[in-house]
Amino acid sequence: MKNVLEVNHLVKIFGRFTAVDDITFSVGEGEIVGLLGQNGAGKTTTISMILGVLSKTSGNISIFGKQMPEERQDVIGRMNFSSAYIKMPWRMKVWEHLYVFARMYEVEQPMDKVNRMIETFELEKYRDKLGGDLSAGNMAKVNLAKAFINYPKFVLLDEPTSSLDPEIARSVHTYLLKSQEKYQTTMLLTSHNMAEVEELADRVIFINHGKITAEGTPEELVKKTLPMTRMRLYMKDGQKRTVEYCRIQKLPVETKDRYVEIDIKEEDVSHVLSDLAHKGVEYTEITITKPTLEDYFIDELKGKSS
Amino acid sequence: MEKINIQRVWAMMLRHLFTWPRDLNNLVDCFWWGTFDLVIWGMTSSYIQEGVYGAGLVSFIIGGLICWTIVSRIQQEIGIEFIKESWDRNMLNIVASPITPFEHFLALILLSLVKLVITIGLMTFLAYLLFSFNIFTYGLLLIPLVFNLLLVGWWASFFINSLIVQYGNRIESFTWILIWTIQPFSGVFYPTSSMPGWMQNIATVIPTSYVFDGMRGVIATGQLDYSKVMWALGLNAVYTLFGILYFRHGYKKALETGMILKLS
Repeated sequence: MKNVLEVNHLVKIFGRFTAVDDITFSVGEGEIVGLLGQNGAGKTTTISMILGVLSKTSGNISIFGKQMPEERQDVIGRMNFSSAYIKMPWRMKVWEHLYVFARMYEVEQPMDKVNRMIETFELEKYRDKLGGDLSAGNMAKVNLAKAFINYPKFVLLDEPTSSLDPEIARSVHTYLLKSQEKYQTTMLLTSHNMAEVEELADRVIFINHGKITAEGTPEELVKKTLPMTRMRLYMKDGQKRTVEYCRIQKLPVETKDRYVEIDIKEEDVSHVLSDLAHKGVEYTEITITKPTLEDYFIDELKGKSS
Repeated sequence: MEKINIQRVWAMMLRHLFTWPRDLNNLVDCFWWGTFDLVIWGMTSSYIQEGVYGAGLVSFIIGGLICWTIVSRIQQEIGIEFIKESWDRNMLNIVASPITPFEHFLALILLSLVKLVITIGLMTFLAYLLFSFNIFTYGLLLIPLVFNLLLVGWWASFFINSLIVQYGNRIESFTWILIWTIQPFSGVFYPTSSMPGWMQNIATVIPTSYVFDGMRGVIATGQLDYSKVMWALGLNAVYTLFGILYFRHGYKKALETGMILKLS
């Protein structure tokens, strides 16, 4: 897989504050990479430098093999971005805004593309609405429509669905995944919605205090640092036998009233359940909770996972 | 009548008082406009009192007003249209797109010319209708002067937009007032010769002073003093060059400090 983006030893210092501290990563063609971290971790600063709207202090950024910002004009037409923090002009109609950017990105048959994006993002009803009359959700959809107006091969998305209701967010996810599949669109996205990142991202990069602290697929990261699945049983009979069994097997176990909670590897679940059945243990309810990226994120911030 | 709660009134006053010292716009409002009006109208009154016009005073003042509108409208249109992107939170969309800062600037220059034609057209029509002042009487002689005024509006915009990208919205007042700082030294309503010595010294490096003196010459004698045009052109060339360099410097600085992102 060819790399669309290569970031090497990137540093950004504002006065005495180091916002991005020597980070190195790459994003392959057609890959969706999630850039995660708490507020102020350096995600938006990194995206801004990649876009060329913020100068780097040192390091190297290469997009489609071209150096940023020196060769920015050679690649910027193949890129685009969307951010939850920007808006469109208040006195401009939705279609006018999209048309302006279609012209700015030199899109062929710009009006056709505008119409297609309006349809794709279900903005037909708002086509002639002014920016000032749009809800936050529709504004976010317009931003996304703008981000894909030029058939970009590389898109930077800064919290793209933060103002959207779950139904619209889902349709946006579908569009992003379709764009990845159909056009091999490469995406680098930041989001505080971990479920969204798990669904969309092929790979995740964690940034903390400007440094990359972890990198991998969402599954790898979660498994590497939080390998256990939590199994919760509501006991009908055999609570003591279950606890005793766990102690012998050296499985972490806790009891709460008639509940028994066991931390267990996912692949051992069936084996343990079978053993408990042999011991005549009976339960009326079973819940198996797998750790999520959100659990990892919280642990990462607490410094546990490292 | 509703009872007034003085605590709430004080809280609202505090809301503004806390930000006043950090907001250059307020300082400008406090100190600039009063001083400006005093200087301009004081100088104009003194000139009128001298009573040596050589031609119609009305023509001088209306001609000056129309020509000054060229400079101020050009600069303000470019400045305001630029800062509007920040008010609309659309600046990041623009700077992240393929359009370069100078293409952006060129678009604003062309737009300002369109608006200027409309404004000057209306003013010329009204000046003729109300005061029988026909600027077209002076025909082609005014073209070099008008061209110089356009140049002043453009280089001033380069300087002001550079300041805005470097220092952000807190100095957006400059968009309205900076061009007016040169007006007292430009001799819009009075000749440079009627200024005090120290003002005349400053006027020698202000291109508009040559333009307005030249304009009065055209109105009074029907002749254009081309040496004034050349002086204005020379100074404008220098300031335009510095304006472009300062805008490049300002934009580079804004990319370093992240002010472009804050403007968004």
